[in-house]
Amino acid sequence: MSLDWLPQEPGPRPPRFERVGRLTGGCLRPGGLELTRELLALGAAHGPQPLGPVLDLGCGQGRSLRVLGHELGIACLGLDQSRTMAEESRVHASVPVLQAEARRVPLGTRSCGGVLCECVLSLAPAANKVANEVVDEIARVLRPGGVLMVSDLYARRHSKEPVTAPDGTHCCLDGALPEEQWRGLVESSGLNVKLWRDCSPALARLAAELIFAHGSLQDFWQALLPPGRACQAELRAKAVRPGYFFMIAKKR
Amino acid sequence: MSLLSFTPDTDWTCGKCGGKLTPSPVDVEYLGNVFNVELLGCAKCGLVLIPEDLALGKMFEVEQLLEDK
Repeated sequence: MSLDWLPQEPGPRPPRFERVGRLTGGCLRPGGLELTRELLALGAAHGPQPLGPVLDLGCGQGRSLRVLGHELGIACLGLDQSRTMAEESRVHASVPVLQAEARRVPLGTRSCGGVLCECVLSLAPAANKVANEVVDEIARVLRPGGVLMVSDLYARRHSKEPVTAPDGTHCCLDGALPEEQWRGLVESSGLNVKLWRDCSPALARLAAELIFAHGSLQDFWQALLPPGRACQAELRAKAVRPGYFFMIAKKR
Repeated sequence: MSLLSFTPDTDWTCGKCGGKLTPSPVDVEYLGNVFNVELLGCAKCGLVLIPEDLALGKMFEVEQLLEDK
């Protein structure tokens, strides 16, 4: 059974993603490429020598791939569920990019020194174990001593709010787990958490820029999410006080 | 990030020196975060106009967000 846990967007990306992309230099996440470079440096410090090949899981337009391959000279490849994104990133980064689901990575076991996951795992619903399947797959492709490098949203406050909208859709805020759940998710797949760092100021800054650009966060959610989901996202943000984090986890 | 512009059409002049107000790039800072915006500023003395709806609307929401309460 194929679970569409990412929106299927045939053709070009919708305008709402482009608006966020303009604020973050093309990346759909806080901190842009500056945070990517910082995360990769931490991964290199904890990971094997050489770090490559590094799989960028959910590579989007390929901007992080470009940093990996062109700036840092690390062997790398990308994977994205979206055909459009995979094609864009092949052109942008000039490295191999696979179009596949993150739960079924078409790479050999123990074939990667690093896996980069930027704002991807929060899009995999934890409630129905998709997130577990993705992390298990990451653990499979990492070689012993290899590192998972994650930047993503986390819940700074526990909430009993439902994590899935009544219409069954899921957005990144729904997947913002508390720190201990992120750690548990990764460690249950056989990876040791070596570093957890709070990077919430980058998220606050992005949110502030979105307010200046859109008028209010409410307007931003309405521009970003399909109709009906914006209100849910706002409520969830108030309930969990989302933060942003780095995590490095190493395969034993 | 592209420059965000808050320059309403107005015939106001500078209250300090009477100079003409023109769109001007301004760095707005709060709690260590700097935002590049475009506001009406006096070409003569440099005084900047922050419209009331901007101060009480977006800027207030940004302040609350950055204070992280």
